Amino acid sequence: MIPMQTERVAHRRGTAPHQPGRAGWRLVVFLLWAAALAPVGAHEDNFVEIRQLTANIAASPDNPRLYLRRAEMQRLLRHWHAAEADYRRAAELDPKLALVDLAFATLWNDAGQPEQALVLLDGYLSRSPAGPEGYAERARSNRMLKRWAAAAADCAEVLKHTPDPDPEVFAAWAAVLIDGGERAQALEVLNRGIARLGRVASLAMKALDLEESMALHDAALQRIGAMLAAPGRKDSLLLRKAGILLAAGRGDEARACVVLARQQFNAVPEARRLTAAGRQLAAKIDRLETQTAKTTSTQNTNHPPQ
Amino acid sequence: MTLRTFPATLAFLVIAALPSVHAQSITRGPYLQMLSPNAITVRWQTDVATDSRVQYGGAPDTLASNAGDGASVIEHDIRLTGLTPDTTYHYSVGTSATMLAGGDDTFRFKTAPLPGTIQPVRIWVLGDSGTGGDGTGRAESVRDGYYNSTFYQDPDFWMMLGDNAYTNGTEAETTRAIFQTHPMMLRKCTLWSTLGNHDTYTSRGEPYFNAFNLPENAECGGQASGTERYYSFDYANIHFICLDSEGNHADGSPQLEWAKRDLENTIQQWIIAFWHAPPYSRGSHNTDTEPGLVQQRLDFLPLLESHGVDLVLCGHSHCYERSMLLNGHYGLSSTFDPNTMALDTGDGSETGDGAYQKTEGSNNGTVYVVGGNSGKASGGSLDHPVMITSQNKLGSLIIDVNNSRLDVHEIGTDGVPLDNFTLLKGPLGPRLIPMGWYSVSDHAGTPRALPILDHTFIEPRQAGLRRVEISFFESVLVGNPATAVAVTGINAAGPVDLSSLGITVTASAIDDRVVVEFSNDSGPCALPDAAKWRFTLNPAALSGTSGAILPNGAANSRVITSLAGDTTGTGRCTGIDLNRIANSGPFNPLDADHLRADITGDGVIDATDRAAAWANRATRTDTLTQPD
Repeated sequence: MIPMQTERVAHRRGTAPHQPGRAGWRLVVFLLWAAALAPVGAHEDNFVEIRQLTANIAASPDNPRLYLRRAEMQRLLRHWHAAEADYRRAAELDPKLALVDLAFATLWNDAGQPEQALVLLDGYLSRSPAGPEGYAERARSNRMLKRWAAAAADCAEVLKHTPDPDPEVFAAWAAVLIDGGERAQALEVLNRGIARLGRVASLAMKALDLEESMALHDAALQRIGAMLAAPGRKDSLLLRKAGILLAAGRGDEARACVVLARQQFNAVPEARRLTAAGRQLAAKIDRLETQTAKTTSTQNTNHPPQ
Repeated sequence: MTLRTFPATLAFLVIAALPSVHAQSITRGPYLQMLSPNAITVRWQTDVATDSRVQYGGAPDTLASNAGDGASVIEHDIRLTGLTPDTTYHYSVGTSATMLAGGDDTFRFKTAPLPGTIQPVRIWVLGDSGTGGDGTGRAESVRDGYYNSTFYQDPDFWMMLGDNAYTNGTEAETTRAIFQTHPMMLRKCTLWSTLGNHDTYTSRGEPYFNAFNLPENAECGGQASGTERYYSFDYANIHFICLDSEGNHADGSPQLEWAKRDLENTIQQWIIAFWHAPPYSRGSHNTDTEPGLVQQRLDFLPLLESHGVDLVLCGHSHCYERSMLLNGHYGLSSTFDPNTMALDTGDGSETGDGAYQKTEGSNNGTVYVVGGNSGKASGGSLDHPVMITSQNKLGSLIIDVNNSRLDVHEIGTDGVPLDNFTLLKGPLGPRLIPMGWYSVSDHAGTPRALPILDHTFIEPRQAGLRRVEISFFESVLVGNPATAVAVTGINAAGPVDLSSLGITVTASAIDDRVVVEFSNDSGPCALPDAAKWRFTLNPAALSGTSGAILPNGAANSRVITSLAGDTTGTGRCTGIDLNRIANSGPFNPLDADHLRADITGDGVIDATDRAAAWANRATRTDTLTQPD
């Protein structure tokens, strides 16, 4: 899990003073701009909590965590000025509250100003290097700035500091590498995720996409073979396999695979075939059947369809 | 030590010695997680670390099998494997030396049936129920509304739609709102959950993820997601897919990639999707003005609808809202066009506009339910145009799935339904239709015929329909064949008047069936084509020939007598219009209300133990046939 959202980090505590720095006036401009665009939607829970926090602050006006929490609620409501005021008050009360920098950095990234975010994040990470949130936000900044290597390095740090990572951690890292033209490395990252988390469908499908795009036909066929061995429907996977075989010049096998896909599709209960996705799949089978009928195998093969 | 100080010293020594005794105390649970046909996880929490042991077996006093873990922990987490599908087990939990809980009939679980199995399934759904134990009594009133309702029966499992513990999803709030509010349900029915925004407010959801075991690696069916934030599972003929509205759901995100693969993979008859923040609402949240909700609608709905998802359950908005049968509305509410984005603008009720049909060669159409009203009811404009009903009331949902039929009831705090609708799907032809009949006695034992509850129902178009049979649970007599049943066709242009077409409807009784036939001047004929047919039975023209509920000595017990068919063995379910059984106070058989009741094997309903009396539910159904 890459915790891009500030509320996820609101409870973590930093160790160094808040330094708004030269970016401050631009942030004010941004806040004014954002306030003008703020939606009017009610968010009843947040209002309730803000009322409660306001009462708590009245009772404990020197507690920075209360201001920080209220700032987060204000931010969720897009009450930018109120959020900024509470962040700043929290920082005044506890100059070691580095979290404020992370919160402001998130706002800068949201505003499409990653350079400003980087300044704050570098400071934040120098003081709070142990959590994944700062690295994730900095990876976001670096990605927006097309600093692919730096972004990938930050993604590696996110994984390093996340004891129980979600697929999102690996997917985000791979995406940065793909953007930077490092597809082989991206594939390695995805395989690393699969090795760690199990045969996760999202990572496996992304890896398959990459292998296909890199014309790694054997690797792709091996991967899809393993997926076909698992329980469940086979039709869409068989069709995908037929496409790979076709791209690999193995037309006869592709044709046989399409036949299998059609058989499997026809065996699927009506409730699942008579959907928009089912109809699209049927149309794909038709198209690939036509395509494979026109294609002759360019090479002999010892790979029977599964 | 003086005599004055001795008692205090003694007290200190006693207290100091207490931990070894106190160590045996359970602070959460036991509760059940990750139900599958062959496995289940039993969880409980103790106040101090101990080892873990679960004993289980076919009866409370024969817990012959056991599983455990020697590690000393507070959070006990034991996966029982190698179980038989669709089978009831009893269990106890404790340490290797001591049983801490269990040993009676309330500590039990039933394994899931194999995927694809067709059998009645009952699900209880709570949304935003996190006010439990906060002193306001709101979540408790919702819980008791279901427990005391005549609809009550033990669900096969239950679900929470997020925001399970207000305000910040802390450990203490989780204990209070879930474990202290629902101890009885937790010990006997598996709870599934989705992540709400409030559940993430403490350490990014750490207390939530600590409390729940959710499948990451397709342990209960579906595709491996690699995370507990979104997952899927199968139960009988239903596929459930849980999404994460609080995380990344952009196009190309791991969540959507996984969901696509998961939906491609299932062959289940029904698909129910659930997550926290709704795609359509004008309650305490507005899905037109909150950008996250606008985007989520665009991200989730096209994928789900393209795969024929039947029902979507969400919370977040603290009200009850329920849509018509929709397909293809992804924009703001101002862009909603019922002519092109609704497949059925009716209310989906068999006693109203008719059930929603997914039988016309298409599995398109989804009903969206916002049920974030199990702990709060906090208003809003409640006027979203896709909604059939929008109510600022507390309640919970029950979902009944039986083969090609899915019924949903929203139950209020008084146990009375606030809304209901039905989804039907599958090929046209003979269809199972719940229908019941009882003769009962009053307090004095005088037989009193009760009318059939659902005496109005609607069937989809069936070309060439010549005869309809409606069966009952006991022998039935038809007094006047001409008035026993009225048949009305409904087309887009309005009602079809059979009499103007020269078609006569007659009803006759054959044992436990009413046979409805059609004729014209030339003799027997088929019904003309129509979009739907409504068959209205007239209770005044029908009577039963047997059956009574008589006092059985004890004040809270009644015996069902003279039932046709099986009154032994696994029992016989009737489900229709019996007598309301109050949760407390004297049992009043004349306090008639809508009741789905079951009869235990010996034909006894014991009002003092509804759980036992209703445990063997098996919905009695009747068949609409289409003979040659």
